[in-house]
Formats: sequence, C-alpha cells, structure tokens
Amino acid sequence: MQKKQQALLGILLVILVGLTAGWYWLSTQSANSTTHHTQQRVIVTTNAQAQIFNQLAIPLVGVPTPGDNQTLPKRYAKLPQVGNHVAPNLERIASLKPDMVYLDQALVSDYEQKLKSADVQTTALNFSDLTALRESIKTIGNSFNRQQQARQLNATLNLKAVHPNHRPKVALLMGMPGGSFLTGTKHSYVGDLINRAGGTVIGAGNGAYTTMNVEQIAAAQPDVIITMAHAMPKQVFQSFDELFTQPAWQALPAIKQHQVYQASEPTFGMTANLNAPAAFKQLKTWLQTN
Amino acid sequence: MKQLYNWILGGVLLISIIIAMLIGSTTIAIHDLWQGNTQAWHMLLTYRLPRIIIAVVGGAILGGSGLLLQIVLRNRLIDASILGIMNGTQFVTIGSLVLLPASLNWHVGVGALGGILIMIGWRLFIPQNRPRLQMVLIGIATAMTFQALTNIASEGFGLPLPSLSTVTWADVMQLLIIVVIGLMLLILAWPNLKFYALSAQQVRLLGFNEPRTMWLILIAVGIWTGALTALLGVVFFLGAILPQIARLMAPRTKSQQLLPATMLWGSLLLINADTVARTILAPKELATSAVLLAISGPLFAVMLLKGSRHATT
Amino acid sequence: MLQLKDVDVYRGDQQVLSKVTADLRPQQITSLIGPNGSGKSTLLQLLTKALEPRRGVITGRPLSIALLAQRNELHEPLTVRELLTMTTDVIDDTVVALLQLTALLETPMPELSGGQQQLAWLGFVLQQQPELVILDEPTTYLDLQYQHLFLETLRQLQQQRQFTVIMVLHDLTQAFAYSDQIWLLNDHGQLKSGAVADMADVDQLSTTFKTPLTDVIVNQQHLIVHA
Repeated sequence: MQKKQQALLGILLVILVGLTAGWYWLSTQSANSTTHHTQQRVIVTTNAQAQIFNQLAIPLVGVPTPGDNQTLPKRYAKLPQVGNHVAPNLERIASLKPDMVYLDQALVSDYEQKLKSADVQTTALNFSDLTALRESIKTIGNSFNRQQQARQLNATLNLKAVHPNHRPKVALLMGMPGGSFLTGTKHSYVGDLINRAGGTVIGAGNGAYTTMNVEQIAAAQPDVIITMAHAMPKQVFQSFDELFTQPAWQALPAIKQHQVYQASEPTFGMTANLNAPAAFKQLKTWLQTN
Repeated sequence: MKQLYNWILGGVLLISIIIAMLIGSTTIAIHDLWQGNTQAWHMLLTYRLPRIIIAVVGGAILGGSGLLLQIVLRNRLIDASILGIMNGTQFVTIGSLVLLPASLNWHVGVGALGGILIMIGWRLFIPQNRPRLQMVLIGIATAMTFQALTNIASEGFGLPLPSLSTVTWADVMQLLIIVVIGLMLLILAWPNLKFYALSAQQVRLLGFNEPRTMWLILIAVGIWTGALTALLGVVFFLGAILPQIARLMAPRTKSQQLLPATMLWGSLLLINADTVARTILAPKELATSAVLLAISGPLFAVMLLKGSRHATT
Repeated sequence: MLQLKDVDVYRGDQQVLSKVTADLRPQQITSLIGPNGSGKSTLLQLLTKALEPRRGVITGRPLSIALLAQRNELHEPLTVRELLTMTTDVIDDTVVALLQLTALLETPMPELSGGQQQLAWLGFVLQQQPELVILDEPTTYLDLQYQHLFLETLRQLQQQRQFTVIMVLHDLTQAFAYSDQIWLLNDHGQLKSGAVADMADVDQLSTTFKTPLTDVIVNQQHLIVHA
C-alpha cells in the first residue's frame, strides 16, 4: 500500500507542477488589441445604448434582447439579439465577431473579464445620471464621427434646472421584491432629475442610494413621495400601497396630501436614458414646479 | 458488476460531454470541427470547453466531498451544503470581493482558502458528537446565518447567481490545481478511511491517529467546496444525494469503494444541468445552480423518506 | 495488572464511585455486577481512559485494551472476513472455528443474526491480541442460546489465550457461572471484590440488589428461580 500510495502521490505532484506552469503561461498571455480606427462591427448590450446609437444613426451588428416594457428601434429590428443587459449571451456575441462591444458600467465586472480573455474589445459606458449620459453621447459621437448628431441629441437633453421659491422635499423610494426599499439620494439618476426639477431629495450620502427607515423619513417630513421598482414592478408597487396604509406612514405630509407618485418604466429607469426629457416634465408636474 | 457499472457511467459521461460541446445557443456542427474551421474551434475552446471542464470536474468534487464527509462524520444525512460550509465559503468569497474587487481574478483560489478557514472554524466551534438529525439542524442554522451575513455584505442587493458562462481558462487552471491538491490529501488519508466503519471509541482504543486522518479529509473537502462554491454558487443537498444514488446501484458496497461512482454521477448531473441551463431558453441563460436546485430538493425529500424505512446505521 | 486505589469519580456534582479499591487479577475472568445506576459503566470508562478519577490512583494499565460493547456500531456493510482483517492481515482459523463463523466469513455483517454478529465482534477483538478485554453487557441483546454460546466461547478462548477479561453482566447467574472473580458495586458506588466462591454470599447479594435471593450456584449453568 505504501508503494502504491507513493507512486500515486508522485504522479499527482507532476500533474500539479504541470498545471501551475500552465497557469503561469496563461496569465502572461496578454490580449492583442486590434485596430481602433475602423470600428465597423459593433454590439450594444442595453436598450438605452441602442436608443442612442439609433439617434446617432450608427449601424450595429447585434442588439440586446428587449425587456418587457421596451422596444428596439426599427432600424435594428432585424438584428440578432444577444440576451438581456443583466446576462448577455457571450457565445452569441462572439459568433457575431464584433470589433467593439459596449457594456453598461454598472453591470461590468464578470462579463468584461470573460470577453477580455476571449480577445473581444469592450467599452463601458456610464449612464449613471444625466450628466454622465451626455458625456457618453459625446464620446460615442466622437468615436463614430457623428459629432453633429451627438451635439443635437445632447441639446434635447439640456434640461434646465428650475429654482422655485419653495423647494418641495421629495422622498425617492426604490422598492425591491420582498418589500424592502432603498432611498435615493441626489446622486442617483432620478434623484438628480428631481433636483433639477426644483425638489430637494431627502436621502443623504455619497452613494446613489442609502437606507432610511420610516422614522428617519418622517423626521425629514417629505412633501412628495416618488416610488420606483428595481424589479417586478407590479408586486413592488403593490407592496408600497400596502406599506403606506400603516399609521407611521399615514402621518407623513406627502401621504396626507396625496402627493404619492409611481415612477415606472419606460419613462423612468435606474440609469439615464433618452426618456429623460419626458421624465423631467413629469417630475415638474408632480412637484408642481412647472 | 461494479466495474461494469463504473464503465457504463463513464461512457454516458463521455456522450454527455460531446453533446455539451456541440449544442447550445449556437450549434457547432461536427463537420465544421473536422474540417478545422477556426471559428468553430475558437467558439469551442473559448466558450464551451472551460465551462464543460468545470462542470465535469466540479460535479465530481461535489459528489466526492459529500461522500467523504459522510464517511468521516459517520452520518449519511449530511454534505458540505447541509453543514453550512458552502454558505460559509460564499460569505468569505463575497467578503473579499467587496473589500478587494481585484481579487475577482483569483476568486476560485480565494474560495479554496475560505474553505480552509471555514472548515477550521467549523471543527473548533460547532458541536461534533451529536445525533445525526441534530447535526443536520445545526448545519442548516449555520448555513442560514452565513446566508444572512452574505446578504449584508452584498448590501441587500441580492447576489446574482454565479453563472458558468463567465468562467475563464484561468478559473479552470485554479480549479484543477485545487482538485489535485485535494486528491493528494485524500491519498494520504485513504488507507485509514476503512476505520471509520467502526465507532470513534473503538478507533481510539485501536490506537490510530483519527484526528490526523480527519483533518486531511476536512481540508480536502474544504478547498474543494470553497472552489466549487465560488464557481457555481451554493447548491443544497446534492452532495448528500449523489452517494445515495451511487449506493442504489451497488447496495452492498462500502462507502470508500463508492467514490468513483459518486464522482461520475456528480459529473453527469452537473454537465447535463449546465447544458440544459444554457440551451433551453436560449439566448437567455438560466443559472446552472438554479436547475440543480430544482432537481435536488425533491430528490433529497425522497431520500429522507426512503432512509427512514430502513434501519439506518 | 490494573490497580485502583481509593478512586472517587464524579459526574458533575454527583459522586458515582466512592473509594473504590480493587486489583484486577491478570489472566482471569472478572465479572462486574451491581444494580442499575451503581456505576458499572463509569468504572469501565475509567479503564478505557474515557474518564479520569477526581481522587485516587489507577496504575498498571495494560498497553493493549480491546472493548466489546452491548451494541457495536458498524457503519459499513463489512463482511466477517473484512471485519476480522481490519487490524491484521491473517485470520486465526481455530478462533474462527470456535466462534462458529467458518461458513460465514464472506457474509456481510448486517445479514447475520445478533448473536452471530456479537461472536464476530468477539473475533475482531481477539484478532487484536489484547492483554485486556473489556466487555460491556455483551449478552444483553442476544437470544438465550447465543448468550451461553458467547460466554462459553469466551471462557474457552480465555483459557487458551490467557488474556484478562473484565465484563459487566446484568445476569447474576451468568456472572457466577462464568467468572473467576467478582466485583460487586452497590448503590453508593462502593466496591467489594473477591473470588467467585467467596462472593457467593446470599445475604450480601440480597441486600445489594434489594431482592430476596435463596441460593447462589457457582460455576454451573442454572436458572435461579425466586420464591
């Protein structure tokens, strides 16, 4: 038994050394970069990106599978779809042999890794708020020689901030399936729009969202409550309706004055998109600052 | 008969692997490969092969871990998930990703190290000599605790279920290295595993170094479980079910002899679950662990019901 | 061999054994008897070092000890042969014959009757060639026919191999029929020991076991019928 054990251990040790060498070799392989200039075969992976590329009249070879409330621009209707923005189908993407794949910066990590290791060029686009959106449009315009169209598009997104005498206090609540919710700050996309529309968002902090319980919200005495759904909108909005019947919530000025609104797709979203002007208008109506 | 049984399993596995290589959201035609079509080969090597290897190897160590734990703890109701080890390693992996996002490249290795930590913690802090069912309950409680901690660490956004679609060759290498290390530990412990047929008291009186053997196995299981969870996520019950399935086909076999069959069953299950997960709703992809969970829950219930009818050891 | 001197054992705050002093006679069969709860299992645990005494000294522990419990767990479906060869490669055929297991060597243990299993365990114990064999109520779960077969076989083997035996027996008849020495534990954890003939004291036994006994017969198989 001893001899057999030793023999097996020896074999495994050799295999181990081989694997370690192989791994080292793999990690020294760097991805070769292809030419940047002629970017002809392009794939986008979110619907917002598709809308923008459409406005800039940029041809694509692959588009994301649209979600429930979304439709693809007519221009791209017949293109192959590569899965939704949360889980793009890497095989599909690869089979289309793209020169560049655009990912959303908020969802990058895993997929960027894998695509990089397969020698697919990726770029992350930041749509985290309106300002970032306009920057990204400018960048895309430059990359594809559509600077004129990009400027025109950005002009429509130039939402002028409103400065009313009385800025209503707004609680932006982002609900999740299961009943919990986060409170948006002015750093989130919709929070930023609310700011521009003349409201003051009650959430504080450096991130886009923060946690507040009903006591903290009550202490801030919001005049308006705007709810959003991270996923499963029907259930989430229903949960909110039930939540607001509780006495702690009933005491809030926003609820007493019936200033509770649902910000749903496709007008509103987690990240900025081309519906921003419509969203902005809606917010001004709700805040009565128009 | 036993030999034949293993060969048959191996054959079915080979067929499953070939099928997995060819079907998916894009079909790869055999004659394309035959003719050396570079695009087909590129597709195979970059996207299919890594995940196939991980499914086959991962399934094997999933089954193997379960069986080894059952042997050294003398309890046929447990596996790494039921004891809470999987959730524990997931917590460590997520924690390190939150603190050090760059560790994503190494998450398989990090998982393995987490596995060692969790195993040591488990051995030191969890009561060991309890009746079988109690161990299951203690384990589930541990798993739930770690699950809660993981949710907090990922700030309540919920974890995306890990998917085999993003596995790279680097992940494959890490996994293989970890598997080989575990096998070496297993070989060192192998001759003493037969003593686990006796009660702990008997073994002590015989003068054999049970703690040493136990630790060798626990560390092997720890690194395997940690690596597996980093790649696949937490999958409940399968580690406990796979040995039972293997045993069904060869009733009077000692657990130790069932290791190859258990591993083969694990590979079979995982690779086919993965093929289903990425094909059935193409181009959308289900998480492989979700497909597995759908199977394992009912199977575990059946196993418990059947087991209570026989006089269990 | 093993000597206990003024040994006190506590479980928590409860004293189980009190000033136990005894000498385990080597190469003889000693039976440990006493009412339920008198501390017999505890005394055995002292011998296997599973417990330590709070006071007193234990010396002369032999190097090789083997244990046979009333129920012996086997977690795998081993055959008799596999069980016997767990610690050694060679099987002693005469022992196997004496245990009436020759035809059963290739049979898996779960398929044997309780009595046959217990005999196989006895074989397992003897394969280790221990100096001391400890038996904890080895016959309690056996059919009557197997109880006597077991004890008879044990005695024969002991006489052949000259190992030391200490066994806890529930049945007084068996204890007095098969032993050389008797250790008697009472309710208070106190031990009296002596040769089997000397310990066959009806009054002492009646008091200890709190039941009227009329007769004690040594070294023969008899059923004692109470009045």
